[in-house]
Amino acid sequence: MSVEAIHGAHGVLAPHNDEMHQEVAHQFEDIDQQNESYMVGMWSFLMTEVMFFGVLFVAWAIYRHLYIAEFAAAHKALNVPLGTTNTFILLFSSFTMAMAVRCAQIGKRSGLLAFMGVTILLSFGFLVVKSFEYAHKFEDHLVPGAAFNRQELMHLKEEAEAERSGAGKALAAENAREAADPNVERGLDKPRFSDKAQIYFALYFIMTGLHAIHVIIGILIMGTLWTMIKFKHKAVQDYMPIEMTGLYWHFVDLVWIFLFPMLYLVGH
Amino acid sequence: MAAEHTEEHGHAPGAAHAHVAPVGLYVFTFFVLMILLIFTLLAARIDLGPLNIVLALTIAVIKAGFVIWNFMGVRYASKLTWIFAFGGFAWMLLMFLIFGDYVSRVPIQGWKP
Repeated sequence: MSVEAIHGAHGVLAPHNDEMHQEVAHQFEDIDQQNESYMVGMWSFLMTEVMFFGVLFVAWAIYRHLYIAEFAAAHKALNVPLGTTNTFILLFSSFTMAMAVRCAQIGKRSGLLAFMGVTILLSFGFLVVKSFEYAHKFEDHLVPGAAFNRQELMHLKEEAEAERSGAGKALAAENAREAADPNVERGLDKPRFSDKAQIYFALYFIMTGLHAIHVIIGILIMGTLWTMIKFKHKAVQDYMPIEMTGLYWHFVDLVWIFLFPMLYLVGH
Repeated sequence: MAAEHTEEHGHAPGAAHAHVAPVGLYVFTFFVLMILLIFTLLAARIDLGPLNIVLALTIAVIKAGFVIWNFMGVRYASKLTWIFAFGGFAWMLLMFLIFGDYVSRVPIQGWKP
């Protein structure tokens, strides 16, 4: 499994053709310094992304801690098979991206185009599945706001309580009362079950929406690179831009690895 | 590690200096991720009470570790890159401490979130 076993002690391969090679920019001592600058620059950007998503993760953790029953009920609205499909799509796209970067490193242009093309198709697949999920939430009025569907949420609550041990019966009367409750003004000090559950949906849309924006940006970057590679643009003779895009794409995958259990699977 | 290789092997200027990982590493990583995905789904079906989320996030951290170490190539990256990659963990640790602060505080009399 080690690199040395396959490629000898080098771990370094010369490109197969003249189409892929690296130019050292004049501000760098050598190619290694230039490559490391790329890497450190990209990783520091990814760290800011961790900060971006990290605060949302902690918001999720605190609200889940405060409103555990509400989150348990609300998460029933999510479609686990669709979420699993999307997890599979993203994990597989991470694999094809890693292969694309490998092809770029060894100068295999045809493989690079094929693997990156598959990665782009998979990311479109992710967005298609996501759009079905979003459409379904909007149809059910499970979007935070004035038109939030309390009846639907109460059904989900009963479902969740049926799974929990012994908590169900005592709350049945309260459930019926809240489902029938008209949409009247209430003080912020008296939030209803459904009011708290809307925080779950708010976090769901913010976190998956922000992630979907990252997927869209990823498609734009990969699409641009694919076209540049296809037409043998000078800037992509160096494999580094492709490696950087790979790091970004793996990060998008990483965020989803956490979002999937946090939003789809917890609350039992 | 990148620097070591150039000193050992003087290759032509402009040649690729990448650490090319074997295809097997990526295939292996993908299969591990698939197995862990199945584990996550199975673990969610068992009622472990509050431990469900701990188990789910532990599996997620292991999955993330495989992606970072193998797919993102941190195993071949320089020590300087490691520092930046570790920065992400440091931030998440800070987030965890903020969460711990919220969880551990005794509510003020009459205050309801």
